[in-house]
Amino acid sequence: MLYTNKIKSRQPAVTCVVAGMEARLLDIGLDADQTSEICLVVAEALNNVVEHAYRYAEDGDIEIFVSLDGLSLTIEINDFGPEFQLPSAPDSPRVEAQDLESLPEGGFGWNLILALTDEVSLTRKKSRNYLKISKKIMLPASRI
Amino acid sequence: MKLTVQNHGEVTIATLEETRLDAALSVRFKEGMREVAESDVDNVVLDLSQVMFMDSSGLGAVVAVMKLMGREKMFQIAGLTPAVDKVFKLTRMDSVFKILDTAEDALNEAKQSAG
Repeated sequence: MLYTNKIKSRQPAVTCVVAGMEARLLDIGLDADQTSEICLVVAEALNNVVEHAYRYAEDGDIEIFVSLDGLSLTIEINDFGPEFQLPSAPDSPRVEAQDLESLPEGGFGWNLILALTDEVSLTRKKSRNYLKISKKIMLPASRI
Repeated sequence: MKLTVQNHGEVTIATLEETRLDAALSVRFKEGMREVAESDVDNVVLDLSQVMFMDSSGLGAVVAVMKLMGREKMFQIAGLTPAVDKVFKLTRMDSVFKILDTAEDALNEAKQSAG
């Protein structure tokens, strides 16, 4: 297991997980570029749970398991909140510079996860939501 | 949340002195920038050069700040680090903002247009 943690559904706790993941990924020799991508994915996934599973209630439990099998990184995030749905298809917010007031201030998170990873699944089992995200990484030959 | 605001003639530079602009900080950041937007300034540059990590909540807050500035004020962002730049590009929000390499570029521009 590369990284594991159990947190309450609070945004400062998400910040701590992202910082912890960052240190761990740099530690195994991952470059800054890929490290920041994975940290972004973890942040977006956890924010999603805080917002959509627990709806900002701060006493929900979230479990995080990150493992590396060869060059395949798997991020598993489990929560005990009500069932929530992932958007069925990428639904990129419309971006039009000429219309200031209608610019989107949210709805980017899910698209970022899809853009930066290879596989995403969300399953509901035993009153829990299981979010599983996989991504191939590249490590310097000396660290494999 | 540490936000430093300095006036350089007609250009106001707001520097976010934080390494992370994420969901935990975004609301306070927006409130800090609201004060800048409501003050008597015309040309605001948000210097993000110290921010090493920004998530979509942070991006949403920067969009909200642009709306707070309205059409009357000039609003530019500067000093995007690679990880922050990537979030703007992946969401195509890089096409919406006026983005400078550094905050100093805004000062040089102001000097040139004045001179």
